[in-house]
Amino acid sequence: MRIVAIHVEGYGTLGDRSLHLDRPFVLVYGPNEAGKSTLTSFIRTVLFGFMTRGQAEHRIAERYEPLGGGTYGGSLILIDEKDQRILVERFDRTLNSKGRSSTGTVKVTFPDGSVGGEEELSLILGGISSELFRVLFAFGLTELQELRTLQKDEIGSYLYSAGLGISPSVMIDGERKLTARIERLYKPRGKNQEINMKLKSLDDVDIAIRRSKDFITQYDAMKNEERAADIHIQELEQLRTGLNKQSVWLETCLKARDSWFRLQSVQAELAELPDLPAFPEQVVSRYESLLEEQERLIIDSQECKLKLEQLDHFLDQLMLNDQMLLHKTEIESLLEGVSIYQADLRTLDELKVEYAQTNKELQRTLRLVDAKWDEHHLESFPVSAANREEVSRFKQQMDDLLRERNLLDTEEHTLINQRDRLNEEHKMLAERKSEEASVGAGMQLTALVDKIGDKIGEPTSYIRTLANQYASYKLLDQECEHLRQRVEDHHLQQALTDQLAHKKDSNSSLTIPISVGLIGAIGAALLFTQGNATYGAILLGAGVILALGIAVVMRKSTAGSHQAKGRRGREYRGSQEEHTPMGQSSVLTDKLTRVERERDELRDRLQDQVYLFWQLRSADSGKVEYAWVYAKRWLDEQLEPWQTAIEERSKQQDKWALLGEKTADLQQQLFAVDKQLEKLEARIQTNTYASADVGTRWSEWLTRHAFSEPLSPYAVEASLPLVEQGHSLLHQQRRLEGRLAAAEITTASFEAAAAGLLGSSAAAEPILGVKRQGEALAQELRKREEAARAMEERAAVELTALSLSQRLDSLQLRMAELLEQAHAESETSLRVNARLAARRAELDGERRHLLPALTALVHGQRLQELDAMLTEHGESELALQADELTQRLAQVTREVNELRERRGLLAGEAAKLELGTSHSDKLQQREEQLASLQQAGRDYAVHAFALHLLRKAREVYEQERQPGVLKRASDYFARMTQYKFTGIRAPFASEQKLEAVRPDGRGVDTAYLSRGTAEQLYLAMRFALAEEYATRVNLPLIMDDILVNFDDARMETCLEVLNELSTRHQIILFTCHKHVREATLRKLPNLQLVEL
Amino acid sequence: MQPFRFLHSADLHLDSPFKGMSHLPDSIRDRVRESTFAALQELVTLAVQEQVDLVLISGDVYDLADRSLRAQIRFQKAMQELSIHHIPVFIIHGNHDPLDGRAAKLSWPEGCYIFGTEQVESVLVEREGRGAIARVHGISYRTSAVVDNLALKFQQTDSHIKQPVFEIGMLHTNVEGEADHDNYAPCTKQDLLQSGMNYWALGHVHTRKVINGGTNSGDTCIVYPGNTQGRSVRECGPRGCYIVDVTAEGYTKLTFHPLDQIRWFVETIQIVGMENEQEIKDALELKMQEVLKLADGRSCMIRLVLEGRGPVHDLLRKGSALQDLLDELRDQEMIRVEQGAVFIWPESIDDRTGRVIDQEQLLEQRSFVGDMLRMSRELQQSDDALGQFRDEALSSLLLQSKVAKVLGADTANEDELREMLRAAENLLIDTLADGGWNG
Repeated sequence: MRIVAIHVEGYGTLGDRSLHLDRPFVLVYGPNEAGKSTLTSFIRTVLFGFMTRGQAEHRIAERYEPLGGGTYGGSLILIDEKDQRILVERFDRTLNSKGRSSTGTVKVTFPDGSVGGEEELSLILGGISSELFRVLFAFGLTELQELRTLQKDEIGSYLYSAGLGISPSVMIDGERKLTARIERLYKPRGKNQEINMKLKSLDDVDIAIRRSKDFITQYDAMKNEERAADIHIQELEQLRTGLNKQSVWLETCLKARDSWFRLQSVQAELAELPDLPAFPEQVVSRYESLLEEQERLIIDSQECKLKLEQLDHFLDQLMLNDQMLLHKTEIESLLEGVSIYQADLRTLDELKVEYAQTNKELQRTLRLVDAKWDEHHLESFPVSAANREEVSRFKQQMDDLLRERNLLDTEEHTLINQRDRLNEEHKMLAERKSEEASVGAGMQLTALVDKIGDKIGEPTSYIRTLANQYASYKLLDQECEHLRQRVEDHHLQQALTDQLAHKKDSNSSLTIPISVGLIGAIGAALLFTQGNATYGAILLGAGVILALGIAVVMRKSTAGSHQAKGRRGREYRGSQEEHTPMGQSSVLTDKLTRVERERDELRDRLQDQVYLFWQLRSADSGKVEYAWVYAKRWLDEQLEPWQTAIEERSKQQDKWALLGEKTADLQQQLFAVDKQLEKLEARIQTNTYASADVGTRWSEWLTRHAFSEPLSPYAVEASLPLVEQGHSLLHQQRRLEGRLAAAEITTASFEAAAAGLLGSSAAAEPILGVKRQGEALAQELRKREEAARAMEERAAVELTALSLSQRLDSLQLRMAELLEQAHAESETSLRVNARLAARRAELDGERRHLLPALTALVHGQRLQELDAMLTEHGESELALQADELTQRLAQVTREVNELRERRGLLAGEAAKLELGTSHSDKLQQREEQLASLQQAGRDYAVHAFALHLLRKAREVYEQERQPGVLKRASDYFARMTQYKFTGIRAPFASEQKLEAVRPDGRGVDTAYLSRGTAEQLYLAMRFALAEEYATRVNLPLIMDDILVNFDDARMETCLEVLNELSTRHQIILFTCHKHVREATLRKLPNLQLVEL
Repeated sequence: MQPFRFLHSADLHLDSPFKGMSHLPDSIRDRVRESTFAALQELVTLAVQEQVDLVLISGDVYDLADRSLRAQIRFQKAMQELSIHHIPVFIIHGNHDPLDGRAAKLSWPEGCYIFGTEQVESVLVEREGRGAIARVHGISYRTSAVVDNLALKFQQTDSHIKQPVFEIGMLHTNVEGEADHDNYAPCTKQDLLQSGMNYWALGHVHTRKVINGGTNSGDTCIVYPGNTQGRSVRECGPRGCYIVDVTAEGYTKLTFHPLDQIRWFVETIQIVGMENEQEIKDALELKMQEVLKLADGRSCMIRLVLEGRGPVHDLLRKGSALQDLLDELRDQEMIRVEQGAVFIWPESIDDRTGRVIDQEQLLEQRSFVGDMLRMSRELQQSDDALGQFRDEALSSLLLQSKVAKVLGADTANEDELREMLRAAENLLIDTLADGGWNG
């Protein structure tokens, strides 16, 4: 593949730049910043895409975005192996503006017009990566240096795996992993490896299996032993049965021994005893009991006899009185009557006492009723309702009359009192009248007035008019005085004003009122101290007012004086008008004149009147002088007393009138009272008559009923309950009398009866006598009872005695019978016989018991054998034998049991072995372990195979493949270094390093090479690899100033190599060095030179 | 000749453990342990049911020379049962239960004949009312490793001619050196054909096989009935015995009857196109259900082989993913086992999957991996090279011969080696891919 044209649209500093590369070797020359590196990058970018922002993170400049903005990208025209011209365009945005891809969008246009993208481009580029291209095909010194340290795995691996196809590190890593795995799986003589451990546990299982194999032998032995045991058990069982039988017989013998001996002796004794046939049972006891009974019977009959005798004697001794029985009924009835009689006596006494008391009570009651009264009166006065009513009627009438009389008396008394009082009052009034009259006469003035009054119609009003007129006169006089004063003041002021015409001195205006005020005040104070407060106050007030008035006036006058200097005049108080002083003064004077005239008129009138008055008065008392002075003096001094006297007189006259009225009134009242008194007297008279009538009727009534007079109806009424009581007492008394008579009759009859029975001698004490008789009777009766009882008893005893003798007879008969039965003549022989018979029976019984027991024990048939056995052997001998047998038996049993146990054990063990799965389980386990081992083994083998395969392949590679690349590289390197080095070596197994090889075969690590040589080495490697790569793709080699570190000679040889290479690869060499350019041009005249 | 019927079985391997199983739960182990016995019981039942005239057991009644007592007792009981039904039984002992092995001294019931080791014995079988029906010849192994050609000892004698009956030879042998089995009492087919037997009742090879003759033929029958119960993944499919009907003409008719209790399966599942674990699991479960249906109501052991290339390969390799998957399947199965129901127990999952990678292309490449693969393929072409490669690769292991034997490293056959090599290829690719290589 070749690049024939480059068109930069916009890339880094370059913009709209085109280059045409015609030759296989192109030298691009340009100074620094001409855009060489940019161009190299541009080619890379078009082919592999823009560097992404991520990649260019710290080398943003490497993205080469156009500095001035605008289109970013460009195109290349390539010619591939098939000579096709292919246009490759790449821009940072899609051609159809769909979006942006960080690597840009490529468009590949083939000559036939077909269009492709990245995929097609990648095919053209043989699928190599951008990185590889950068390092291997388009590189500068930087990339060369990178190669030096083989930092980049991809590059490093590519260097080696040009024919390897794999990164050596991967290979080495894989080898290491495989080795590790293998060693984990197994190591000869290892312990912790998987297989080693499994082997160990397999061994353990094997051992266990070997052990369990022995079970078969054990099993057989067990089976044999089991069979032997079986036989032995059978033998022993037989033996045991024999022994058992024997032992049982011996035991039986031993058990039977006692019984057997007993039987023998019983039989011997029986043989000796006589035979008493049909011997009655218990003959002795029966006989004895009969004897006992006999004895008892004899005693009983004796007792009976004794008792009979006793009873007879007793009967004889009882003395009976038949006489007593004759009076039995009588005595009994009397005895019964005793208590009644006693009671009657008691009742009699009580009744007597009661009667006496009742009587006493009756007498007392009668006395209470009336001293004259006795029972007959009482009986004849029934306390009937009529009587009662009558008495109360009387009582009512008398009461009414009495009450009326009392009322009348009271009324009369009142009226008399009233008359006395009125008389008294009348007298008092008369006294006061006279008293008043004397008082009025004592008053002079009043008398004068009266006198005057006779002349003048009405002195009172006259005096009052006079007083009024005088007061008016005084007022007018005062005003005149005042006015005169003012006129004077006015004049004075006028004079002062004239004097002080040129100066204003208002001091006087103040001084005057103050002094006036002061005078007033002092006057007032004086008046106060003298007690005339009213005047004082008036004076003070007047003074103050005056002072104020003066002050005001003076102010005004002062003001006036300002306006009208040198002018005099009078001013009226309170006037606002301004008058000329002359006018003012005349007004005042006029007024004064008028008032004085008025006053004088009034004075004249007064004088007339006073004179008149005097005349009137002097008619009585002296002469009168018609003069004002006198008049005035009188007015001042006498008018007031006159006035007072007049008032007093009118009051007195009023009082008189009142007294007169009162007296009249009283006289009227007196008259009325006298009238009333008369009426009352009449009524009292009537009442007295009625009372006398009632009193007569009452006395009649009392006499009729034998009441001693004078009893009031009240007393009679109060006696009525007593009368009633008297009645009841009387009745009671009658009843008691009846009962007394009855009691007396009863007692008398009893006493008579008693006397009849006891005789008169006992009559004194009838009760005692009767009681004694009663007792005697009772005793007699008791005796008779006892006799009867004794007779009864005697009969019974006789009966008993008879029965006893009968029983005795039969008893004796039975005793005789018994003796006969027992074949005995006497009691003694009976006893002997009885003992013998008892013994025989006992022995017989024993034998009867023993024989079947023994038979049962030996099962009947062997009785004789038993006899023989027991006869032959003693007890101890037998016991010994039995003991021995028992012991042997126990031993045999034990043996059998042990054997059985053993046999059971064996059978169990054998069964366990027969069914035992442990062996097969172990075998299965072994197989499982084996399986797991084999699996591990296979794993091991597979890994070992893989490892081996890997190693073998590596060997092959090292031997056959690697030299191919290195050979070519070595060739280039040798040429470039002018055979200072013979080649390059890559020791594969060790670290991925290259060595330069000296002619003597010595390897020099790249690190130790000079810079130039090292670069030549890498260059040689690159050329070789590019050649190697040519099998895949033939790409142009773009180199950026790589020759700068070469000396001239080596540069030339290097250029030669390049020239040779250019026949197969397009070579584009960038340089900024002139010497390089020249050397190249000199060496390779056919190259195309492009100058930037 | 009298027509009659007999039962031919061999290799009971009573009380033999199952091979290749690791980490069996107890309940499964119990079922496994009983399986060989159950198969024997099935045999007895079959014999009684089919009213056979005799029963042949051609060696390896027990699994080991030191036979288990339980096995012997159970076998004795089985024999007693047959005896009760008046079915005679003829037994030879093989390499697994030679007569020199430890055995309990058990008494064998009437009608049970065990051939000795010294010489070929012949027994004329007579049935009540039918007279002689067959003559059975046989010889037992004295020791576990008999390398003589015992077939040669079976010779026609005069008696054969005097009283011609159906001749049956019983031999525990490896005819023509069957590779999968130990080459004991080796003989050739020819040897057998020349012996004058009508029927060779062979034992030893566990895979059912009729070497000569067969149904409805008058030819000499040479028959391996196979073992009665499969015990490892190598013994897949139905296992049982033959019932042979002999006609009056001496024609034979063979009918196979399965006796096995637990049947083994190896099933392959392709992972191509699968995307996740769930899909694998579903596929495995589906496969297990299918297999269970095939097993006619028997429980099964199954090895699940995952094959193919796909993205799930990486998922399976991750951590213990494969084991987890297995555990999960087993857990599900455990529920059935606990219930005593028929189960299908995943013995293992064999992961033979590979990365999605164009191996063919790699093989073409002149690259390291290409070299490696090519090398592996070359090795797989040649057994010798393979053996040599094995010896080189496992040199450190093979030095420990005992260990190597236990691990089966030295006994692995070429196919296994090839399989391992393929696994190694995948492992290498995976390992390199883990390191970052991506083809």
